[in-house]
Amino acid sequence: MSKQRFFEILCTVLLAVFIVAMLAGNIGSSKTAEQVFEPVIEQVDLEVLKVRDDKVLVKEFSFGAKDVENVIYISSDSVMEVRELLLVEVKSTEDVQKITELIRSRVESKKALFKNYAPEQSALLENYVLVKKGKFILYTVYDSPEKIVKAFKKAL
Amino acid sequence: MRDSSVRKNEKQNKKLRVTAVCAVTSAVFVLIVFGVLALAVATPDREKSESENRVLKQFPAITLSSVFDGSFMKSFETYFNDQFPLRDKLIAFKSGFERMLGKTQENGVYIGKDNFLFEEPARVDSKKLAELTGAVAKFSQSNKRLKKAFILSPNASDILPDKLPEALKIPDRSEAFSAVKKALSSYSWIDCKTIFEKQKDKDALFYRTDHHWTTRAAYLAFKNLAAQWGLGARDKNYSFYTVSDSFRGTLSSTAAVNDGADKIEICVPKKQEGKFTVLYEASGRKTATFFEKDKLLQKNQYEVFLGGNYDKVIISTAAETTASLLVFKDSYANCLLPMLTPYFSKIVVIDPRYFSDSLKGVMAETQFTHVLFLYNMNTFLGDTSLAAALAS
Amino acid sequence: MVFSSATFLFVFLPAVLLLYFVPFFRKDRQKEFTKKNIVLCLSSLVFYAWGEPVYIVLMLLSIFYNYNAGIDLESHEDEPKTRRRIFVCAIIFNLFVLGFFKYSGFVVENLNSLFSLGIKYEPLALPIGISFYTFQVMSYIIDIYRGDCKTQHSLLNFATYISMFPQLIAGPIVQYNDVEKYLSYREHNVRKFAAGSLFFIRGLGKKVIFANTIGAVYTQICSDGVSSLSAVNAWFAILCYTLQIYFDFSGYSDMAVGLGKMFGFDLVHNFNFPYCAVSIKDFWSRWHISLSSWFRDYVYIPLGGNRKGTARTIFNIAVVWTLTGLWHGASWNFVAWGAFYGLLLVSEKYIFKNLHEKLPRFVRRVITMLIVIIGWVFFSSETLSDAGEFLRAMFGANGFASDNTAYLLLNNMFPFAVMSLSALGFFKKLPTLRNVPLRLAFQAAGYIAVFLLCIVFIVSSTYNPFLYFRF
Repeated sequence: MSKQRFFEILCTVLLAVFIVAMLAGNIGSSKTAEQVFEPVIEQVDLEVLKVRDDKVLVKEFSFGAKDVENVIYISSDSVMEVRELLLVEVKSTEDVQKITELIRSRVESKKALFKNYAPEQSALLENYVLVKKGKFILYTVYDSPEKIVKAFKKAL
Repeated sequence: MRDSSVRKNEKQNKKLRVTAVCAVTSAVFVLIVFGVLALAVATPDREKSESENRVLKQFPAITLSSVFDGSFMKSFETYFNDQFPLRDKLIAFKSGFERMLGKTQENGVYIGKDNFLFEEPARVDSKKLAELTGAVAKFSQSNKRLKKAFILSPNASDILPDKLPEALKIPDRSEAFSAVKKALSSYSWIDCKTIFEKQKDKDALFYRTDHHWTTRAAYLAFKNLAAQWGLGARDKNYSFYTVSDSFRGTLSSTAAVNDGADKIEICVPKKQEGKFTVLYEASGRKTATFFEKDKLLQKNQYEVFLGGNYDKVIISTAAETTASLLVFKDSYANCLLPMLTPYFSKIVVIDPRYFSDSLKGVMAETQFTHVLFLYNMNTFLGDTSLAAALAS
Repeated sequence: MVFSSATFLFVFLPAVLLLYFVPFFRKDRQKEFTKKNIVLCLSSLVFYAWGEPVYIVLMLLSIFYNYNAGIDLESHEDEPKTRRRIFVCAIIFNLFVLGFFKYSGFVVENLNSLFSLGIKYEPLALPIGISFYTFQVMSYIIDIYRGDCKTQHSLLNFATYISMFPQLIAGPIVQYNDVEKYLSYREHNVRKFAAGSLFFIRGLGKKVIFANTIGAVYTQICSDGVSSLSAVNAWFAILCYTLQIYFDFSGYSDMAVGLGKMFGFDLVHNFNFPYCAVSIKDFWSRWHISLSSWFRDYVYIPLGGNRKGTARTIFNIAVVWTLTGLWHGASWNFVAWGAFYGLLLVSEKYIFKNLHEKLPRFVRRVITMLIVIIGWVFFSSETLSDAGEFLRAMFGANGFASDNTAYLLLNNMFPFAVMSLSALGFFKKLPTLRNVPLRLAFQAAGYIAVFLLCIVFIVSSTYNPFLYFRF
């Protein structure tokens, strides 16, 4: 086999690997909700924020625990505190679209709402993060959302 | 022979001159590209933008993961744009340039005559409006013993159509006003639209650079309310003070138009000064004034009234009366509230957009005698939170 | 990264210019030239990775595969069978890359709706510029196979050709034959650099000052939904879109050509006043020229062109135009748009030929423009039914004019007029100074002013004041 032939085959194989890896990244992981949620929650300050109940979730996001497989919502009941974390595992991947839409519309209305409070809060909201991976969705407003996203991706 | 050599010489000269022009052009191009970079490096980064009134992006941290997922690059672009040298001046220049070319709309704000700026008037959605007024009417049925009033202020574009830019036709919202009035027959209706239209000096009713009504306009609405409720308010009992003449409001910011400034007046009852407290419930802060003077130093000076919008504010006064008032409002109310203090011992102000408590709780806590709704048409048409707050 | 961003203009570009032009090897010209190619190649990879860090892998694989396939083809010169196999494999590889990343979502979606299969599939994001660089790489492989060009033995030069940042993400589609000579030797001088910078500024101005401004008008008119659009508004909107897409695309091509010149390349011009065309055929010889010529050279002519009888010619035209439509995007409205042009070209060629030739030039131009504008309706819509709705609006389904029509026209009259005249080539016909150096100097001064104005527009486009509209 000539050198060229070898490289051609190598490239084809690598292309296949690349595509499979990309698709796998698109599909998600087999981890349980607990395994994914736990390390992410560790990233937020639970002294200030606390885990909220289903009623608050429904009021804020228009969906509740019964609509999804697993969910945890962490925020503060103080009006001036915009930092929050929402982790969702949906029942089936078909729901991802619906849930992210709900989150998105909620963050838009919250942004509009906070526009006349201090600019600092609004800047935090502008930097919100919404990541989806397979059945898992992460939404957060935080000082350094990168850290939370990193923990989320690592946990998957 | 000589002729041709002269011609040849000329040709060569010309070629040289072309090359010279090219060299200068190239040099200028390179100079601009490198010059801006050098300027960007030399200019210290700003934390906040005064003219845009927001936090500016700082240099993002480089990590392997932020580079691989592209978030570093995205943040860097925002950072570079936010910290661009002379950013504010360039933006102001662009806005001026466009107006020079005859454009009378910038970022959705209409640039009218005599430096009047207008926000795009909210459209009337009759179905939504009927639902909203239905909810307000329902509130009245379950609170029959209270004295209720509704102030619905028109917006600048309703009252000053002749100040709108040439050829701009905006929908007539008179019908919407009548519809609200009709649906809320159980309320004392403060007909701001008619009152304002009768005024001689209509220009003074709205800020040129901001979307709010002026304190003068609020006072007209207040006088009508006082008459309908029989509060006995007299002109001589109120004084007006000018607190700023350099107010450039939100419309001016949005459109990046900086010519023209407004004055802000405050209106206070002569006797009541200093005899009340304002409690901002969410933060627990207590003050003895409606006016936050610090806010006059910042961009959005309208926040001098009450310091902005809060979910719930409780005003306790020394007025010798048992009357107490519940207010549902948007920011138009902020400059009107001080006028009410002589007539109520307690005023609870709720901004439904931020209010997440239960209204029943609030009403159980205080025996209210009066209820006031105060909205401007644009906010009212776009409202999504009042009905929920009334039902809570 | 896009050319019209502050980051490109004032961070990336100065860095590349510095590394590229400041000599590292003063004495060794060959080494210095190699350095220039290395700088160009590496900076192109950075340019690509800036927006698409992951997909750089895909481009590198494509480069490496095709580089080897080129050499492989050359080394089996006397074995037609092996050559054929290598060639077919290479074409399949390239078409697969393009097909998978660009069309798999579209195919699955259609299969699902045709056979109600319900395949769950989340398509991957589209890699930037994949349609452009795959076509470039295919032109190389096909030319080698046909013996029309020499094999490139330097991986560096080959990678430079494919990844070259000026044309990487929006064309023109540079055929290998046209740049081969520059890869191994090219001249740099101030005349070329100056011409390049003027070309670049012209493109930047078209994009930033013209296209973005008129595009905002289009977006604004359509923001209330097509269902309530009055006829005048609809026509004005689609005219704005017509201008936007021309200035956007040709601006980008001009910037590419300009940057190419600065770095010593002469790239093909992609546009030649397409809105002055007198027929559809003429339009396509002036619009996105590099794409039309690619399809002509690598699809139409190999299929037999017009030399195999009328029926076959019509078939060939149909194939080329369906593909051209699909190339622009994986969606039925693009196919419809392509088919629309195919049909028009066929009828122009066979049915209306005599009639068309008798009409006065002006009438022919108007007819052509009307057709092109209708074509943009399909192009600008998301779905076929949206396009239908827009067309109905243009022909009065929602009334002739609306309340805001007068204001809309008055408010945007000036930019619209200037841009229309410019697109129609009016300014090109104005008398110019006889004195060449003086004319150049004026031109240069004008362009520099335009450049400064572009900076103003770019910075202003990121104006993001903190608004309080909710109160």
